[in-house]
Amino acid sequence: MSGHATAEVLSAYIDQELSRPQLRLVETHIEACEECRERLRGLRRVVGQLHRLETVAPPPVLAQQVQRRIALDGGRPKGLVERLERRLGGLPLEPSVAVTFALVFSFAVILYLFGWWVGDRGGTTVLVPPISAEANGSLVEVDGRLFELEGDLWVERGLDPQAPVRTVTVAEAEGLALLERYPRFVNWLVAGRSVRLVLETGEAVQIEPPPVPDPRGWEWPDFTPFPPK
Amino acid sequence: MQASTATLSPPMNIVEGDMDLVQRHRYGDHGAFEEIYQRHSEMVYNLAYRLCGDLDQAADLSQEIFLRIYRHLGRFGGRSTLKTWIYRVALNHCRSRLGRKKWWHWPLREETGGEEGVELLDPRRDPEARAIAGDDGQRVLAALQQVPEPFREAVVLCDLQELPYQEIAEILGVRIGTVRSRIARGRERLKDILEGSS
Repeated sequence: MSGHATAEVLSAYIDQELSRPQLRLVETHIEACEECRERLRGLRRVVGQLHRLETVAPPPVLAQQVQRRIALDGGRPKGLVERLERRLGGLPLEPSVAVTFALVFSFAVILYLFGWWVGDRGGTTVLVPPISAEANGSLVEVDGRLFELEGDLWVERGLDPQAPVRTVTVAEAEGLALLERYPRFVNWLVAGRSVRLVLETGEAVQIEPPPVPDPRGWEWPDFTPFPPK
Repeated sequence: MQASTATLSPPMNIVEGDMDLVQRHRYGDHGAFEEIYQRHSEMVYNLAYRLCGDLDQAADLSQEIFLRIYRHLGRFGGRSTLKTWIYRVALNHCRSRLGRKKWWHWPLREETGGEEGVELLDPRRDPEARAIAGDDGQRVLAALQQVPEPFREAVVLCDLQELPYQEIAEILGVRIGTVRSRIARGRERLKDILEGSS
């Protein structure tokens, strides 16, 4: 053995948790090394003090208290964490795991709600001005794409009716480009094949965009985070 | 065939015995839980006491631990021995409660009718030796509380609960090398504290 024995080795030596070759190596080293002998003595002193600690008998009333608690709540799990623990196999979660789970869960819920609100504002009321008669049927071209005004909608021409649902928002480059070029268009959603462009509000008329089915299959309550003034 | 299985893997017998108790508990046999309490209450109470250093808190912790065991026992799958499982429940609960203590006050303890934990001092010792042992024990226990939690847990399980490294590794969910390192560091830290205080 080169150098001195580590605390780990000495500690395992005390507990007889070394393999036979390791044991022989340590014994040989300790015989020759005064410093390691002294460290071993110190560790043995501590272990001896710990071993001398008396066992404590639980108070007799403890059994009754446990029985009373069980009788009171019928042994049902309390709270979200305990219910989760039960579902996960009965072993209580370590505090760090429980806290991490709670944080991740909360974050996921916030993201979900935020995504739902930002992504598809199905129930949000949008304010639009009345469309003038001469504007109806007119065409605009945006970045090589042609839109035709139908009622209060600008509908993109030539889209595949089977195309998947797609949402464009002002957070995206495409939406931003549209807004910069046509600042009067404030809101657009894609439902099926049509791009919805809504004129900026002036004299307000309220319309309800068609509800967009939630792809996650959830039934959301009728909830408007920021109702219109 | 059965005999050879039993010879090759004795821990399985223990697990099967545990599973009998768990099965009885699932079927609503209250005697099963009482048996578990009788077998493990001293172990749980002492573990809690060694980790928190206070008899009253140890009683509170033990009560909560057994309530948890009662609630979750039906889901015990037998992947470890019941004893190891109970140790893990107890240890996790102590971590949780003792960790929380830093943030808000410990809840008021229910009246126990004045009964406290009783030190099982060896009656063969004379009173003076018992008093010295008691004082020394308190000093060691107080020093133990100053050892960081992971090392304290390993030392308590090894030196006070007298478990082998392999079982400690299963309880703590770490490798045996980690157990060895934690025990060594915990003992060294405890030695420094005790030598510094004497």
